[in-house]
Amino acid sequence: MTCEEALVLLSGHLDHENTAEEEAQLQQHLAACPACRQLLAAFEAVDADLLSLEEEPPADLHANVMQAIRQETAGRKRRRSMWAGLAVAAALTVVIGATALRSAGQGSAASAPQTAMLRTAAAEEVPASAETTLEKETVLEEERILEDSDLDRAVVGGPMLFAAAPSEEAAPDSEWMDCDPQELANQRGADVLVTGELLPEMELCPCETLENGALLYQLDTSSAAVELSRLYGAELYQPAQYGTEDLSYALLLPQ
Amino acid sequence: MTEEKDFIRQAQAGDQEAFSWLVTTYEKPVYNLCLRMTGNPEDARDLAQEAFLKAWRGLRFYKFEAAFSTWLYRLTSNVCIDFLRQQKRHPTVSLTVEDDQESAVELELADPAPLPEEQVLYDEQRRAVAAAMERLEEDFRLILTLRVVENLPYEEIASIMDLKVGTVKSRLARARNKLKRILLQSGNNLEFLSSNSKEGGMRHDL
Repeated sequence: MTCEEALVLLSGHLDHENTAEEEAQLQQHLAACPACRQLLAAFEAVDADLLSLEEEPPADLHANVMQAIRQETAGRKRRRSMWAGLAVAAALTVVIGATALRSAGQGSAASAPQTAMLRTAAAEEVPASAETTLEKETVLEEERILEDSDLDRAVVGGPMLFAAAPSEEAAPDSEWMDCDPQELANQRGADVLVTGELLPEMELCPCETLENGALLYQLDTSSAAVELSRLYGAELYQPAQYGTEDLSYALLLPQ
Repeated sequence: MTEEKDFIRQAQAGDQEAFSWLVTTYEKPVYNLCLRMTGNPEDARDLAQEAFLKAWRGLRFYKFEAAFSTWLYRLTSNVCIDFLRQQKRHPTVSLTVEDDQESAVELELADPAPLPEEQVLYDEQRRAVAAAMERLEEDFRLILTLRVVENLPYEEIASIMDLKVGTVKSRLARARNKLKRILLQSGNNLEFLSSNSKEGGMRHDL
């Protein structure tokens, strides 16, 4: 065995991760090689020093974490009621849009992608007071459209009778996304993240409502979407070609 | 572990008390990972807090496929690596932080009482290893911390870092070798290190 081969086994020896065979080979090498014996001793010393640097966490870490969580949770509840108002506005736009599309005479086969678009506007928390006569009527129209299409995953909930966005448990539904985010990424020349809820990082970002009613947040750097996708496990769409601007987007599918 | 799963499920449903239990369980390993990645107690405290906040926000994405510790270590190492990359993008910030780091290490290890020579040497040695860690590449620093400080098996390290187990083994060997070389280059006497290690007098138990 060469000293280079022994190096990996020295490390494995310290970590108790060598097989019996590897351990035997290493011992044989060590018996004949003073340099590797010295190296092993040095590794042991460095490991011990590294471990001795371990410290107790700051006494206030736990309390600070819990306080931040309490504040954030309280803030989120307040924002949710604001959000419900926005969702009603977005939903109305889509319902009207969908009705127009339907009256344009689309057959049931072609209506599936439109329904998919509609799901972007699904809102869970819609105050009852927001129900207007106009809405009730258009909702009935829309219900018929939905009946025509594949509603396997759709859940009817609340007065709006929208197909549901992905639940708390599920990641954004890939069927839904077939039509949209990739095209959006290509159009904008930037990464597009798809998320099921308003992430804290998106809160202060500029937001626009797309034609299909989805909300698109502009993130402040081109790497932000990648970072959020890694952090939250959310789907990321990358453009065929990147533009020059240092930004990326988050597409919100309200729950 | 089933107890832990119960707490995780409750926390996923929004129970802050259950999450508090998880913070208590993991604050030491999370903080120490941040501490070794940044080399600085102030940054480590901030990053550990950020990691727990992100864990709280992202908890519903945890699907019990890997161990919770694996998920949390991965999240924490991402937080640390993002922080270190940001520092690199803004080198002026990084310089001040380095100044802070030195004074922080001083503070951390200083003791007003007169010390026996042995203790002085031991403290110097620890400081040298802490400084050498900061000069190591991020990946080497991460893998050594996960293995030596957090005492994780290769398999879990492989999941956290998205590596094959065989790669973990060879990378750890290279990381140890590099750390040893940095110590030698900065004038540390490894013979002293090794003889002291055999006597083991001042050392924490392994």
